[in-house]
Amino acid sequence: MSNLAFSSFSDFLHMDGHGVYVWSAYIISTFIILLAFLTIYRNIQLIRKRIKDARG
Amino acid sequence: MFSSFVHRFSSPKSYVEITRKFFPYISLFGFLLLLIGWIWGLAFAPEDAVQGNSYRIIYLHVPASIFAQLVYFFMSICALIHLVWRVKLAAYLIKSAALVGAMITFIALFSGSIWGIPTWGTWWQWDARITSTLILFIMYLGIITLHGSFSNLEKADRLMSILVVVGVVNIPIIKKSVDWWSTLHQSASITISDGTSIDPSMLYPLLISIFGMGLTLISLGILSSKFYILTREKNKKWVQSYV
Repeated sequence: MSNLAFSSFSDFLHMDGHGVYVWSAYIISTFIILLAFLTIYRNIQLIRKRIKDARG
Repeated sequence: MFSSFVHRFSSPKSYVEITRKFFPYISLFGFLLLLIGWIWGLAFAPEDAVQGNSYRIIYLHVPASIFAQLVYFFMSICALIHLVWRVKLAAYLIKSAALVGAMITFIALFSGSIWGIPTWGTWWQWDARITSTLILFIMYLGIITLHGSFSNLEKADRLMSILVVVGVVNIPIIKKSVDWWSTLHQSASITISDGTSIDPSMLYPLLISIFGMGLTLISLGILSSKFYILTREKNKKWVQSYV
């Protein structure tokens, strides 16, 4: 990890015209992974609550 | 003696307790490594001489594709354990890993499609590796659906395990597809016998991304299995006192 590959932040976003592909791939995939974590976490809380309520 | 050993350490209760202890470290370390690998790959790794900057999708696509296959491999080991020793936990792990597998295979296909547009001039080809990975994705969905379609859960566990074991033939096909057929995908760049043909400046962030993605998926799998175990064993005494 020595030098930045881009000279400016807008170069970094643009990536010589490839930015739209690179960034959409990363952003959508990150969103899917985060959504999976949140959904499962939420479901664990719901099932715990259901078991607790059923136990009384 | 061996089977009593397997049964003692494979109780869902001890699994939930052990994984709960390790979960914070695995998930935190995984996120951190993935973040470092991606920042290194996106901002610091040099541009590719042939593909330009579009190659930076490699730090997402390659880890995703590796684990699309490794998750299935893990499931097939669990399936064998379930079929041979009737370990319930193994079946629970198959069911919960299938969700993680479907998700990461979708990401592998999706990121590959986007990478294909600037690099190959197409987002989809019935290329041997893409087709066999699509079959893998459909198999993950099939495994989840098959298990969900039985009211007798023990029977569902067994049939699901058989399907997983049968489907494992697809894994070497995916791996070898680039050698057996002429495809758009290149053959492997990192091999055990010949080392790697990737420059260290691109290889290190890739390896870090792979480890980070692995740990991230393990922590997602831990959560997924915890949910499934609580659901499945909700009437057991240990769950009642656990929640």
